[in-house]
Amino acid sequence: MSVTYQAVGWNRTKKIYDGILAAGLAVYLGLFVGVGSLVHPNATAETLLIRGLGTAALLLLHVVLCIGPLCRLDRRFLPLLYNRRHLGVTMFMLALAHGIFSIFQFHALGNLNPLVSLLVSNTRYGSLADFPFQSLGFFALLILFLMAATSHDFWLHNLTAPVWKRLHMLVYVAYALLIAHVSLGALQSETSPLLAAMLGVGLTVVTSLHLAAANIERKKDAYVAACTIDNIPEKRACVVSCGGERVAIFKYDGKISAISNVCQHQNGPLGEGKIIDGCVTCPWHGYQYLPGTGASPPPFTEKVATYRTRIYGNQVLIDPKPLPPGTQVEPSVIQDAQPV
Amino acid sequence: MTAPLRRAHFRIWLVLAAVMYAIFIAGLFARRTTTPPNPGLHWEQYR
Repeated sequence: MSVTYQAVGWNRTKKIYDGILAAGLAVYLGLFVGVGSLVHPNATAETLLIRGLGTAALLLLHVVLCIGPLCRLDRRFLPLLYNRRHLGVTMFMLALAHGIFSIFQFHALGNLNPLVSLLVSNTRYGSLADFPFQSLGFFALLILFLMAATSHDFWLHNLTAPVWKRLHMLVYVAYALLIAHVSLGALQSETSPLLAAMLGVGLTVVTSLHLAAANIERKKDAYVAACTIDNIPEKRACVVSCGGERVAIFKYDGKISAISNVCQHQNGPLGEGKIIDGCVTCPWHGYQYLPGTGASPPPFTEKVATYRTRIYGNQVLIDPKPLPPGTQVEPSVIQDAQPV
Repeated sequence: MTAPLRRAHFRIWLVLAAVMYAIFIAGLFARRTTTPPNPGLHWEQYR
C-alpha cells in the first residue's frame, strides 16, 4: 500500500496563472538587467542578476503575503489565493538562485568552504552598518526551503492541517529575516533612495493588511456560526450547543432571536416548542417567554438567558457568552443581513 | 476551531510590525556613506 502521489493537478486555470507568473518574471528580470546595465554600465552581469533575482523574490514574497489578508478583507481577491503555493515555490526558486549566485560571487574563491565562509567571514554582529546580513538571508532561505518542500498536498495530508499551518506560519519569521537582510545589507550601500522607499512601502502595506484583516477576524471571533436561516422553521427553533450550553435560535416574523434552551419551570426544552402569540412556549407545561428579552410576559416573573445574534448572508452567528436572564436583545432582522 | 490560530496571527503581526520597523529604521540611520571616488585611480587601465 502507498499514498497516491500526483505532482501537480494541472488544469487550465493553473496553467494561465503560472503562465502570467512566468511571463511577468521574465519581463521583470529582462527590464532589470537591461535598464540596470544602462544605468550602471560598470556593473557585471552577475551583479545585475543577483540584484534582479533578489528584488524579484522580495517583490513576489510581498505579493504572496498580501494575498491572504486581501482575501479576508474582500472575497473578490479569492482567485489569487487559488494557486498561491506556486507563487511561493517560484519565490523560493528565485531566492535560491539569488543565494547561489551570491555565494559563488562572494565566497566561492577563497580557501574556506563557501557555506562556512558565508557564516564566519564577517562576525561584526555588534555593528549595524557592517552586520553580517548574508547570514540572515541564509536562514530565511532555509525556512523558505522547508516551506517549498512541504507545500504539496501530500505533506498537508500527512502532517495534518494544524501542524502544516503552524509550520507555514514560519513565513512570517522568514519575512522579518529578509527585511533585516535588506535593511542591513543592500540598503547600506545603496545611494538611491528608491530601494529604501520601496521597502518601506512594501513593509507598510504587508503589515497594515495583516493587522487590518486580523482585527476584523478578532471582532468576528466573539460570534460563532450556529446554523443557517433555512435550518429554522418559521416560529420554531434550531437548537445548538454553544459554550457548553444549549441555545434555542428562533425565527419569527422575519427576525432571529436566541435564548437559553432550558425552561425555568422544570428544565423543559424550549427549542422544541414554538412561538404562540408572540411568546416562546415550552412544550412541556406551556411556560412562555418573550424571544427578545427571555422574560415571561407579566404578571409572570420567570426569565432565561438571552444571546446576541448576527446574520451574515444565510448564516446565523451567535455570541456564545450568555447575557443575564431577562436582558433585552434587539432581534437580528433577516432582511438586514450583512452580505458575506 | 481557527480562533486560536487567528489570535496567534494577530499577536505575531503586532510583534513583527514593531520589530521590522525598528530594524528598518535602525538600518536607515546606520547607513554609511559610500566609499568616496578616488580621482587618481583609473580601473580602465588595469583591464
